Amino acid sequence: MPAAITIEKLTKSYKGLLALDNLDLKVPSGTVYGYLGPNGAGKTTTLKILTSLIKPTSGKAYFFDQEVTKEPETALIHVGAIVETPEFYNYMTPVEILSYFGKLRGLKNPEIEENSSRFLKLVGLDDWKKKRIATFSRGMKQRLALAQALLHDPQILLLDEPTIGLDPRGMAEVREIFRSLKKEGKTIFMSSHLIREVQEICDSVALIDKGRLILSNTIESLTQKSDSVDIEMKLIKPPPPEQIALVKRMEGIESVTQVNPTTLRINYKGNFDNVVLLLKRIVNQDLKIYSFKTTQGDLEALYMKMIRESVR
Amino acid sequence: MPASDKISRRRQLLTVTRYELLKYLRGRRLLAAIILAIVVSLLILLIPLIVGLENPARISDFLVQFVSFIDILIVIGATLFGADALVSEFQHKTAYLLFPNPVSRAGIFFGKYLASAIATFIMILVFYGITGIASFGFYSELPIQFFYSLAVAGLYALSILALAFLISSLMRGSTGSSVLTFLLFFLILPIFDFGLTFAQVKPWFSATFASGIMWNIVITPYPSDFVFNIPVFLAPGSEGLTITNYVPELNLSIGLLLLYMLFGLAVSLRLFSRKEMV
Repeated sequence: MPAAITIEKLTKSYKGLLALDNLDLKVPSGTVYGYLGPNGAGKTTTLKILTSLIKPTSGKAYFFDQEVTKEPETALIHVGAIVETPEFYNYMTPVEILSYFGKLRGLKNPEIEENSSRFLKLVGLDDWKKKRIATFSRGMKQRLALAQALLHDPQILLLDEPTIGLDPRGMAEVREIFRSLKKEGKTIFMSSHLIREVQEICDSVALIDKGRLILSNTIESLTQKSDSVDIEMKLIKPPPPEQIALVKRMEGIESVTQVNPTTLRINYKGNFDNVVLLLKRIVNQDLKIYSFKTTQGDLEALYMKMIRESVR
Repeated sequence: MPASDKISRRRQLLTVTRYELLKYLRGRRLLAAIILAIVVSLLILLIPLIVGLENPARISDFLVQFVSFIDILIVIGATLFGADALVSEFQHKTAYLLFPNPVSRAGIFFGKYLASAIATFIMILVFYGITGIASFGFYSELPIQFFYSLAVAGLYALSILALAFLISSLMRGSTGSSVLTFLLFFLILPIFDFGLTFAQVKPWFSATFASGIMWNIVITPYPSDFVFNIPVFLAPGSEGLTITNYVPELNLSIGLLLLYMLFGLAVSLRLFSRKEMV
């Protein structure tokens, strides 16, 4: 089976400024793929090319075996998308918007009615389905955008910062929707700044910077590659400077940062077995610890490291 | 293969048209255009009656009184329905929702053009409807030339809308596009036509000059250019002026309007299709 999304040597330049630089990426069918990178890395540019909002300077992109850069009308049939912050026709209601896009996607009226009702309920807009969108908040528009992306039951979802503008409850609800879509075997390709969200939802991740792919792999194998541990330690009372100095001198300690008077953040080079020994040694220093939390395999740490290396 | 793999392009075009018309209805633009057509035609009808003027002896002169205002209404129609049709999708960022659908830019373009044409035609029909009723009421007849004029007005509307779409595909904002469309066809080109006429050059190539066929066509026989003299006392210091009143040639003007329509559509479709949502 071909990959759900295939990107081949995709390049986009804006008046000499390279937004994408020979990007190659394959998103296997049925995976939830996170697309990470700092601002201006080229994430939205990639999504815009995939959704025919802009044309690449060179290169190709496919959904399964259909080239979206050549025949977007055919290739986009089984794709649902949210790109940037969505804006709607303010004079319409959610039901009318979904009816409009449903018809453009070739759905029959009964299917449109059934799916509209189902997805407006799913995104929590059932009570607002006949209200003009002009009165909607950004979060409500984001929910509606998700409903329109799901309306035709697409095999592939392209999502650009899908939880942006949502309150914490809304974010949790949307993540839950993604989990259920994942179970249905949908392919989701989502860009996000929220690395913990990506780690929580996605199977795989691609990291880009300055339009170039820095890495792509499953989250599991990426986090296992990490060779250092971040430890956050909370103490009952502020440690004296000489005790902090002692911890700094311990074997394997890379750095110790006093985040606040009673919290230390330690970067330790080693695996979990050694962390046990480290904890024993710290306790022996008579530091009164009430919380000890490790974050080995943290995607955020790996992200920061890769971006720093990319800058160099 | 799911049914949605075979999307009817015709259905997509008509869907775009339908929702564009909904925009005109909800935004009350269509209502405003219809009210304007009614008010203008009633003013033309009632003002002579109020001031005690008698209707012209010939029905063609009566009709000319009305249809000489239709070009203004068409320009207003093009401004209301055509000028922001394309640019608004980019300016209001609704293209982020519309373009990722499996619909061609040409489908969106022609759907919008059809909607703007339908809305403008409604306005034209209201105006001609009142004109026709008044004409029939006073003269108990409606000459065939009245219907020719209606047909030519439809053609002029299609041309001006195509050119309004061209402006819409070039501009960055709806307001700028609307102002430019209105000023170009209401003020700039008519002044240009007048300047050329004054310089004794027939502006046969101008779309606004060609619009004259809408009212000249109701006159039988179709008029031709004529020369008139401005006496010395009206032009002091000279030996008097000779001015030619140019009349647009019917077939040439119809061809020209068709050409402007095709040119406007072809260029604006190309620009719209290539425009990126950066």
